[in-house]
Amino acid sequence: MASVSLTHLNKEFGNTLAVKNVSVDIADGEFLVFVGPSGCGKTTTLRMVAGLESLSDGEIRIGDRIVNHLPPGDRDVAMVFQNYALYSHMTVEKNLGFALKARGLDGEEIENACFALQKCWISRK
Amino acid sequence: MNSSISAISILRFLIILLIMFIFLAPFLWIFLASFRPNMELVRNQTLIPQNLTIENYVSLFTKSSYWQWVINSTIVSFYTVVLSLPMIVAGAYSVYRTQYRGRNVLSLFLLSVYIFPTALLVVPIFKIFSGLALVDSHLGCALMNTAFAVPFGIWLLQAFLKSLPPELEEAAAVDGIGRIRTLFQIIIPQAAPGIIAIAMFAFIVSWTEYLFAMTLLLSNDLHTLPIGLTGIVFGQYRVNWGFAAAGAVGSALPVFILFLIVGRWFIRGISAGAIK
Repeated sequence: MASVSLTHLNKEFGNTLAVKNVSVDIADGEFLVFVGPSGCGKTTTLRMVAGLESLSDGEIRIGDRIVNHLPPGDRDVAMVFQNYALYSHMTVEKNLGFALKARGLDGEEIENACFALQKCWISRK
Repeated sequence: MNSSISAISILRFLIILLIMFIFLAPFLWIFLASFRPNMELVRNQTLIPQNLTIENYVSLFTKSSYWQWVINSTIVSFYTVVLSLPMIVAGAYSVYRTQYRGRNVLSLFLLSVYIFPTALLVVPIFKIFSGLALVDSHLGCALMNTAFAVPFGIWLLQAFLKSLPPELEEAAAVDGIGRIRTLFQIIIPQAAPGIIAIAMFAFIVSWTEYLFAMTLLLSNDLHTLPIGLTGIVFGQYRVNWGFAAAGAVGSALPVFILFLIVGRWFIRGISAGAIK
């Protein structure tokens, strides 16, 4: 985990200001929730942190790196989407393994991770 | 109450039947004509055949170069599909997803290929192709068909890609999966039903193409089905309509069979996506 800090974050879509001057410091390990009416910029802010949206102004820092221009994959972040993005042409195991493989885990480690998850799910029932 | 509902549904059924008849009548006529002796077709124009014969098909399969034409058409169509699919997939993905200067203008100009009456292109294309040794070759013909299949194919596939949720790609991006891998491992498998439909489209464009096959394929043994059939209708034989009708059925049949095979797979692809 790492600390995340947003400084004077702005996002404009054309003439609409979607995110206006947001500054937040999130400590390492802190649990933070954004609450607000729909359209107030929660998702846009998160998407900027993940790197799916460029920022119009401001700075995003993860750990001690400024990640403003880093592509999402290089930021070492995880994101769960509002509509969960599952790959319907893959099995559950492949869905789970796809991201792990991209991070350089080998087949055995992926299998262990899937096995652990399966156990979790069974014990919850 | 019940009777009025059934009266409406009977009326609806009759209207559907009428519309279907209007659309299917020419096909039905061709199909029936292919089983009728030529003399009967010339003399009396009834829809219901009086005498049935398979003589037309016997001469199509044994006396004409039907099998050669089928093979040639298959080769040209296969080349067209193989050449056009990578371009369509890459082009549609580029227009749909990537950002670069002039992208919108480019996507607008895509369909401009169809502005020109194709007959205008025959002479210049012939000249260019003869310089490139592409005249009288199946590849040259397939290149021409590719040029006509690609822009519309891109346009079709782009509409299909738009129906995929963007989260699929974004999730891959967050996981650090590159553009090319996302295209091959996420987008193409997800768009498979659309890509197969477009492959069929390219195949049929090529299968039915007449003008450029006629001008570019000079040797008899390179002729495709539409050209061969023209030879039956006009050309060296006297006009034998029963024979020509059998030829028309014979040229549609391979595509029809292909549809039956691929179509089933295609529907399975769609429903598999919907359930999960």
